[in-house]
Amino acid sequence: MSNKDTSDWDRDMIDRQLAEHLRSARRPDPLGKRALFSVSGVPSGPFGSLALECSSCKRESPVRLRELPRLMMPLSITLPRKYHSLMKCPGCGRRTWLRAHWRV
Amino acid sequence: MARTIAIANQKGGVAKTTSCVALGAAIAETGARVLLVDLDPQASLSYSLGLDPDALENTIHDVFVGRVPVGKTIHQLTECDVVPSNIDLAGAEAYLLTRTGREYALRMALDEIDMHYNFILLDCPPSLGVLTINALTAAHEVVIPLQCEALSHRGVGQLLETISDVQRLTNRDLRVRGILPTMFDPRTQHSREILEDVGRRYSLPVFDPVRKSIRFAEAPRAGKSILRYASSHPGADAYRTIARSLIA
Repeated sequence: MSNKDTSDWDRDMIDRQLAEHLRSARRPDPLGKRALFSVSGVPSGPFGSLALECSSCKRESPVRLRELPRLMMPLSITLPRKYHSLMKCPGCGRRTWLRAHWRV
Repeated sequence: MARTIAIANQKGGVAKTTSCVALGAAIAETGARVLLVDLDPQASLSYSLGLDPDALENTIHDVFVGRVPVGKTIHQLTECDVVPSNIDLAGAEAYLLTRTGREYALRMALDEIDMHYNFILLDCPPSLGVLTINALTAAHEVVIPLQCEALSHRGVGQLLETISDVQRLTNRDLRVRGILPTMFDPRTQHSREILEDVGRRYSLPVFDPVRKSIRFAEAPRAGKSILRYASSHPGADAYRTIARSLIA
């Protein structure tokens, strides 16, 4: 087999591997690698998505509106300050002061 | 604040640890303060720099389980500072999987010390588990070492997908700095073809390749980086060149 033939074979093999990987990537399993993440992935809609910024870990976590009540339990306080709401950070899990804003 | 760079590829034996140690030493040669963090339970990085993983009192495992602050695990070595690991880290992975906010454990730990360093390099384990997610969440940039052989491609596609998940979920600012071709053998058409193909296929920058050499295998046995073990070796110079472009 010539060198050129070997290279073509390599390329074919890489193409086959990637195609196979893309096929398997179309079957997301919530108990598979998604389980590595504790935060939810909130796809941005056409008008953006709600995000919470944590005063403790300084991270910004996207959240769904329906997740808010759970984060506010058992008690949430809102004060007129930068990090205005006391609730649970979806990123670090601490109960601390957060800032909500709309992310486009 | 330090620039944090993860050296990641879930495929084993692609020279992640060798690259992490050599890049750390090369960056430190420029006068920068460098910290290397061993995130592999096999503790190859710790061993490569002369530490005995089984004799260590505190490791990154103790940080992950909240036993000690990361500052207490740092070893100040000749070439750079190191946060070592040992086989206990395999247990930390299971511990973290039950915790909310598990992706941020490393980032929060490094926040305590990053003001003392210019660069923090994270040596990732050969898997796409929670430790690698922690590294990618804590990092500003990721470098992907790639052995110049056809099977390596498969891992890169999967890693890029995970990086995309991390960018979406936990670290919007993570940037893929480039692919670092390792164990390059310019005498074979195969190596040259892979090198040519990889940048084009993934539309990513590709660093200058690092050639295969027995010196890379000898250096860890001496507990030194290639830069100290064989300072004028072309492999050491290759990492110096890559380090310069990395910190530019």
